[in-house]
Amino acid sequence: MRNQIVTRIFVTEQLLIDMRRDVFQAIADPTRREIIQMVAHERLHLNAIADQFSISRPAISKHIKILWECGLLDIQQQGRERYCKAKVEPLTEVSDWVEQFRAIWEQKFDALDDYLKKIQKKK
Amino acid sequence: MDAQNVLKLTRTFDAPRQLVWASFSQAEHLAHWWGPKGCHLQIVDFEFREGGAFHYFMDMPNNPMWGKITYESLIEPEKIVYLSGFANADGEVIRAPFSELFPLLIRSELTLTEVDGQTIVQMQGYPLNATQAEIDFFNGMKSNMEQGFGSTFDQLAEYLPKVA
Repeated sequence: MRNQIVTRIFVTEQLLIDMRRDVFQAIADPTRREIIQMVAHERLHLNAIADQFSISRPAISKHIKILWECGLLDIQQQGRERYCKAKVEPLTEVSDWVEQFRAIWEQKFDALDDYLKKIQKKK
Repeated sequence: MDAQNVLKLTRTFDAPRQLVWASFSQAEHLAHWWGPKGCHLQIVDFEFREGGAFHYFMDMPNNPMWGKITYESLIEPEKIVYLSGFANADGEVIRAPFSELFPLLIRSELTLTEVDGQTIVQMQGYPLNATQAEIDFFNGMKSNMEQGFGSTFDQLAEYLPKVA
């Protein structure tokens, strides 16, 4: 029973870490950051986005695919064209490092509290 | 420093200050509580003095990580100031494995106060640096989007230029 719970906690943590890594990988690239900014306000079709860059269209498509896979882009087919719009909600969640840091410290303080109780009992 | 981007925590421990200080300053104590839950902490290097380093290995299932602390200022038994970050096996500071925007280095200040045999520990932490790419990105986001993405970006955009 206890083992099951522990396993579940680790699995949940692993999923969170995977999700975060994806989002941060997505914005680690300057071209992808520029794409998100371009479609933050308006829905643009793929060619309109590609026209703004000097790199090849397939390269831009690849960046767009990565952004979509990471949940940062909403893509809709309209006629022949595919239109993109940014979905930035996943970023706001992970950018709040203070909360991550707080969680680390709350856990450290709990552990210190337990440890101090334990060693004082022994005396 | 923007107050919203400083982590402040206070905890009271039912133990005398000397013992709490020892828990932070002695390797044999630290090994018992410093690591994340369910992880066996291995101390690679430990020199509790100003300029000294605490380099440790966290043996997490699927996620082995190293951490490194450099002590900046130590006033026994009341104050500990250090820089912390994730590290590699050689003790070089690296990005957090779980998040590219988690600050590379965080400065933490711990203040220990004894009241009636108990010890109050105040912890204050804030980021030391941000890369130009991060600042540009968040500034860009801010000017590009007046609304809709919550206050987090606003806070980040405000503090990043200050801490860079």
